Amino acid sequence: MKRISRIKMMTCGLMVFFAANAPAQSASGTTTLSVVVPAEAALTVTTATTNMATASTTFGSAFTGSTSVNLKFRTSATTGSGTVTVKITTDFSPTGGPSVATPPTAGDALSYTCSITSSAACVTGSTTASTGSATNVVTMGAAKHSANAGDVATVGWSLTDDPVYAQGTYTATATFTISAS
Amino acid sequence: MLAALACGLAAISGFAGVTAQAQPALRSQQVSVRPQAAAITFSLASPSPVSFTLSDPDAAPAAGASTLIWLVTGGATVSSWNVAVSVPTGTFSGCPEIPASAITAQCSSVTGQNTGGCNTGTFTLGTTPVQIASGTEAAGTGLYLLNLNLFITDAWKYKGHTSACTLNVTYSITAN
Repeated sequence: MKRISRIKMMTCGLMVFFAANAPAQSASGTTTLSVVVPAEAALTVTTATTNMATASTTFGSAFTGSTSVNLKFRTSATTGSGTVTVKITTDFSPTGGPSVATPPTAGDALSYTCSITSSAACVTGSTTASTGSATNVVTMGAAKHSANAGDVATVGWSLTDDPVYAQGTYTATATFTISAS
Repeated sequence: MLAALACGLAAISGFAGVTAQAQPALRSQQVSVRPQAAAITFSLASPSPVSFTLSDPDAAPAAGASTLIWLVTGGATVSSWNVAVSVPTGTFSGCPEIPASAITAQCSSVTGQNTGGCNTGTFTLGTTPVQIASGTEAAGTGLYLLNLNLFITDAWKYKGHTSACTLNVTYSITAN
């Protein structure tokens, strides 16, 4: 009987040994995540109403004002491009004042300049705004992107101060459009 | 510890009765607590690839889903299992500007186990495995099924691409 017991205990010792050394079984596999990152663009005009005023009371300087536009964009890596354009979609009203489509005096114009700190580029110099076609404000090349919070472009407006304008308040609508490919 | 306890019982049985016929129940208990050599005999992740469609970096992260299935044989309810996920590289192939950390994983359900399930939370993928589910094994043979939600956070700083960018995700299943 004692001998049998000793054998049992030895067997148990082996069992404990196995318990402590039971190898962990593992397996691994992979799955692939696939994503297409398209060229995209978005903008927000952060200056809802751009007030234009002149510092002169003697027609010595134009009416000026500035509009801030937040730009978000990314263009394709190799052949991408993008633009921000502006078009005067509603001319000044009421009548009797300035007009983009039919200036009361030759040479009267609504024009703009642009400034931006970004990988995008503003058009250089002053550009005359139009009611007939959109004109470029900002251009982007391939593989360009904005900051995650967007890049801010500032458009500075200038409107001829013409004595023929009747005294009053006039409003027009400028529509900005961004595209990227 | 349970194995040691069983040993004690087995030793006593040796004194109380030598033959198997005398203590059949005790012998049965001894076998049941013996540590099992669990084996993972099959595993599958589906679908592959998991495809994402990005449309607006300002919108909520794009979601995808993956299902992981594996078969454990020789499982024991006292033994543990776990699943971890990781990525072998830190960025997407073809889109090096997109880090693997743009991907988060969230285990949504597990079936087949004895206890446990999804680990709570959303986990950011990286080269270091992060455990997404754990518990104790089903006894014997168990087919486990884990559903995983995957999210990619888009960003304007990523370049546009005309072809898909890819990232391998590694699942590591452990059964003790």
